[in-house]
Amino acid sequence: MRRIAFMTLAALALLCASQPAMGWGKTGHKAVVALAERHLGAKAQANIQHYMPEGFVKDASWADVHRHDDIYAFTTHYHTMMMTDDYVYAPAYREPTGGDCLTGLNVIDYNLTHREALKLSDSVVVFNIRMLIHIVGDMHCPAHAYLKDAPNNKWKCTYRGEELKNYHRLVDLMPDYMFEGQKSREIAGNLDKWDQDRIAAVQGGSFIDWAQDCCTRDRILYEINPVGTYELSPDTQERLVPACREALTAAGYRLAALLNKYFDY
Amino acid sequence: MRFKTALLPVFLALAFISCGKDNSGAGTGRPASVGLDRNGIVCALAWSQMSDQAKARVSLLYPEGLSSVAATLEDYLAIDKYNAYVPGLRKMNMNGRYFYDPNPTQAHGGDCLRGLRFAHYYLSHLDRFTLPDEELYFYHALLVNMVLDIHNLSLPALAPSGSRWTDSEGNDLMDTVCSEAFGNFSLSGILLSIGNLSADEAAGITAKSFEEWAQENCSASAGLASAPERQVRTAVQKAGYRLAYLFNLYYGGTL
Repeated sequence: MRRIAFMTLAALALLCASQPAMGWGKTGHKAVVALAERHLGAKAQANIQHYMPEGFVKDASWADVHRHDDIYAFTTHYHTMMMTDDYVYAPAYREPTGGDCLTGLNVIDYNLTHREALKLSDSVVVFNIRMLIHIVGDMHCPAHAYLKDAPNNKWKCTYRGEELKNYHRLVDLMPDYMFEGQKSREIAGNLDKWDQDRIAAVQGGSFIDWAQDCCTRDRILYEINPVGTYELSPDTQERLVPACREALTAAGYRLAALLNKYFDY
Repeated sequence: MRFKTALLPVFLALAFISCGKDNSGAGTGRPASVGLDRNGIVCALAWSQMSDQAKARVSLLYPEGLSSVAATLEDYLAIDKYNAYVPGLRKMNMNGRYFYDPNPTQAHGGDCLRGLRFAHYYLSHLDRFTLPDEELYFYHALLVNMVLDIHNLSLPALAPSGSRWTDSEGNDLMDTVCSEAFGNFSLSGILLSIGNLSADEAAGITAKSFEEWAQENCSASAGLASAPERQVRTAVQKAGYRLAYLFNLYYGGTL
């Protein structure tokens, strides 16, 4: 048992050291999109397939890779958001720098709603879909709402004796910890347990409501490990599981609602 | 620098004295529309449509009147942290069919719709934030300017040419047309002619989303060439009713 735990930690440390920041990690982002895919209407599914015949689950992390391209560099701001010390969504901290998740979502929402009037080419629609499926996931990742004075991506720490790049990375990799070895569609099936009333409730509201819902949930990070903690609580991963599970699920259902709204014609 | 923070006690005292007076800042006894610009008309119309609660709150914050709010943005632009991005918000693009298009500005800080959403978020969630005076006044200034911008028919630029409604000397055509549309009327006459909508008509104007406001502005700018005075009158009317709607939303009461 100790050997397995050591191997897991070693793998985690290796991942932390070798990968750039990738939101929920590929596992989490694919799971969100796969869950959304399960809730697409027939028309939406067919219309999205027109734009992306090879499927779109594999594109869940496209935005993470291509934000490093000069032409898409401005989208980097869309991957995260900020909140006050009492977990209230606070766009002001990011306004001067080009915005946050909601800035991106608002434009994508406009583009996909009005793609005919804007005469968007197929490739631009695909770009917007790729951004959408990723940003909705990122918005729900508990590590992607930063406290102004203690951004978790600059939070040096150790976990179970191993030095981590930052707290952010530990949270990003939660889906790998939670669903080790499972494929995205298998994870989606595992998450897809909410009843219709709960799904409808989480899909309701505005983007601002969604952002605030995420910020409220994200407080768990700081309840487990108060700001500035260097040696993270050894049960951090276990304690983060319920919030991460809820966040992944909410993201999947909300993404489905948006895709159905844009492509059910 | 005209930050109200240090002067707030003075303003509060003035507000107490002036309570109940017309604080639109546009005045009521001016001859014709001399000195009344488009923004002044919008603010006077908004004031006439605001609830008593909203008027009381705005009077406390701005004893000089609602019209003074827009000008305070200049004070903030003298500060680097605001000047770094606020000027970038004062634009709007549309495609060749006069359809609002947020995309050309995305890599360059966004447009007035983004600024409007930003200011609106803070002012509509005042219960969630303890804002320093500097920020509270800033959001008011930004909001009023964004509402004015989003109804400015000469603002939408045809990307990528960026052509705007300016004459050969670079003067804003909207201001010229506005003078022609309202030039022969007193302020009270103007308010009588554009401030008399029924509750249903007003609700029809205010119920639309910010995106629809932007779209209306782009569509209306297309009509500047054929019916400029009518388009400007409608834009000013919508701006006034919508500004009142927002202040009523933040500070109580409805239209």
